[in-house]
Formats: sequence, structure tokens, C-alpha cells
Amino acid sequence: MAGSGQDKTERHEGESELRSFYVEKGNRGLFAIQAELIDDPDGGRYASPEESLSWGRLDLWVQERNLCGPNGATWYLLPVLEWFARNWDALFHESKLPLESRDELSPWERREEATRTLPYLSDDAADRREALWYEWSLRHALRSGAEGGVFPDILLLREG
Amino acid sequence: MLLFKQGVASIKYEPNPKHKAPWQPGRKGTLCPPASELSLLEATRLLRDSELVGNKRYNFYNGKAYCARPHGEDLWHGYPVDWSEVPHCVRKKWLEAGRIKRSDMRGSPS
Repeated sequence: MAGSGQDKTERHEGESELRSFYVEKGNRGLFAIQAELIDDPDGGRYASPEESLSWGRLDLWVQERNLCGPNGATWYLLPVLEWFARNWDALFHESKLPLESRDELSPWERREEATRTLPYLSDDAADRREALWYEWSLRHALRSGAEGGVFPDILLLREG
Repeated sequence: MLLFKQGVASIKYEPNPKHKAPWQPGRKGTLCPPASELSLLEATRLLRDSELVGNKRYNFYNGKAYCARPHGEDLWHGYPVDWSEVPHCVRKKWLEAGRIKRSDMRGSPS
């Protein structure tokens, strides 16, 4: 998933090593992740202490395009990083989708298709399909770790 | 801030400004509707009647799904989520109770 190109890791000098944390890993031309911690504007009032310390900006680069938008996604990064850690194995080793298909749809398109065709299924069949996609999305949909943040609606999984 | 009792525990709803408009540069939290659409009183009711899964609570209002998280002792705040982020067991419970239909479960918070 991550590119094998140049890696860049930096820590700027500052009062607190943690608060000035900045890291970029990967190759923006393939896949790169960039994270920067900044001060929580609410001083930790609406989050746990550890979440508040993780307030920062995330950028995800795919083929030179920032999926988080030109200004990145600013939110508590701890839940996202925990999501990556919790689902590391699935992200790198689980390539199967909940529903197998012979068509050439991308995982994202297949999820949309599965949702769109729910009304044509019996209640039991629709329920089974929803359960499968929900469990699968917990491991592969970045937004499963968003915890209220606006991160891109992307699915991450091994290809091939 | 509003306070109510649920069982033996008291929980309070306190809105989080990170889920209020206007956004700053950079994408931040999902945006709650304005108070004219979802009042503090209604938000408190949603919290009181919500389904608890792990450390989060879920409910829906006007076609939108909401999640609430604690941010202090007995303090909770809520924010809109995509229907797909509502645990399947909760959606199933609402469906079986006739509170919603599958066609209602559409829409993204942002």
C-alpha cells in the first residue's frame, strides 16, 4: 500500500518535542501519509487528554493528489492511528470483499452497488449483506476510525 | 448544558463547537444542523433515548444518524455520522422495531 519511494521524517525544534511532531512517509506519486500535531483549539475540553494531545492535520497522497483536500483534514489523530494499528493485518493481507463478483467494479463501486440493490432482496438477505459490509468496513473504511472527523471516504485493502 | 437521569447514572449533553459551523480552513468535524433544526433540548432527548454500543451512543433525527461520545465525567457530545457507520446491530434493532425503513438510511453527514 505504501510506496517504496522516498521517506521523509522530521521533528522540528520547539518547546515540546511532541507538540511539534511532523512526519511524512511514502511517496506522494504512489501513496504517502503526512501528519502534523498542532494545539487543540479547545484546550482539551471536548476530548480525553490523549486525544487532545493528538489534535493535528492529516494528509493522504495518492498519485500526487491529496485525498484530504488542499488544507488536509484536521482532527484528533489518535483514533485514526489506532484504527490503522488495529487493522494493520487486514489492510495488508485481506484482499477479499464481502461479496464476490465477476465484474470489474472497484471495491468502492461494489459497496455502492451492494447498497443500491438492497431493496430488491428479502429482509433476511438484505440484513446478511448489511452485516457483512459493516464488519468488513470496520477493517477497511478509513472513516471507521474518524470519530467525528471529516476524513476521505476511502477503502484500503490489498490488491491481488 | 442539560442534565437528565438514565438508570443510576446521570449524563449531560454538552455540544462540541468543533461540530458547529463555520468551518475553519481544512476539513474538520462533521457539522451538526443549526439550533433551529436541532435544538439543545432535542439533542438531549436523542442522547437519552440512544442505543449504547461500547462507549458510543446512537440515534437518528430527521433522516440523519447521530453518534455521541463522552468527553468527561458524565459529559457527552454528539455529531452526525453516515448511516453506514451506525453499528449493524443498532440499525437492525431500529428496523425490526419499525422505527425506520431501509430507504430512510441514506445520506452522509458531510
